Amino acid sequence: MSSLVGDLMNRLRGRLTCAETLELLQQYLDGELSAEEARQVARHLDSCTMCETESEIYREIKLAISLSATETDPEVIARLEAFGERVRNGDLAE
Amino acid sequence: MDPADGRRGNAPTNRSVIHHVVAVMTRPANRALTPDGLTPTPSSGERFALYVQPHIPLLFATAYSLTRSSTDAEDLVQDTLLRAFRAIDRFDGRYPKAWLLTILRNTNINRGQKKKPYLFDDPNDPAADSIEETTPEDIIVDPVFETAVQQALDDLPIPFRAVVDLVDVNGLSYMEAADLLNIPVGTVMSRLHRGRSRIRLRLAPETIEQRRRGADEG
Repeated sequence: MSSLVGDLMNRLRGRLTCAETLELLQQYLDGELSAEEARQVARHLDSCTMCETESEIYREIKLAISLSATETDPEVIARLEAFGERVRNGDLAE
Repeated sequence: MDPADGRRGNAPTNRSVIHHVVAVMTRPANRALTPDGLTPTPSSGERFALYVQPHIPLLFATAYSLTRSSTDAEDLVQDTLLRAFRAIDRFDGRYPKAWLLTILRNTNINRGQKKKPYLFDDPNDPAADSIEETTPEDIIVDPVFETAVQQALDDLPIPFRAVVDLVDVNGLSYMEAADLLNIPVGTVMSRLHRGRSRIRLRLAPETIEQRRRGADEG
């Protein structure tokens, strides 16, 4: 109920509603919004515990995902860098 | 004529003479100078070292996101490096990452992307959403948040997984991911949103609550 009231107040003030904020949340977290859009989302998050919580959960998910796949086999990268050196030196020119 | 210093035409200034002397004295012995006598022309190898080689780890990570196979990804990156070297003299030096990803994408297509049509699946196809349905038995109660996320990530349908990997792991922008997969930016956004939402839904409330408590205590 309070969320509905809050959304109504936000709408009257020309601010983003919860639904609008959640719609933009992924782009916000990825830095894909314009500065003005990001400012509007940030303003809503500052004033809405529910949306701020959602934002934090997704931020943590993004962090966990980024940490999950950093274990590239260093031997593969070393092989590719060695291959790159051979290409650079013209050893593999066709 | 520059009224500020009273010089005329292309008459060399003391500063430009000094620059010229320094350039001559410090250039490698086997390095040619351009006709203006000041700026050495970078060789293909030097351009390759500057624009391509620093991005090898990113190329591999991206190739792995596309192929889901370390062997295929390594082959793909090797082919990409060869193509990049052949094209390096035509590259203007702007946005090397985007340039390399374009080569990677085209190389991947030429290598038989048709074998992996899942990357081009229609995201609106209901089949893409029906790969797994979470049942109460499946709900993750792993106390480690990262492990729970990893498990949910591993269970994502591949079209979603590829986009999540490209953006969250490899740090590509929506536009870069769209170019790489040859899909509209809107599709990238849709897959990303749905992929992350699936992960979010797979996390049991206990897991999230535990994470939240940990953050509060930390």
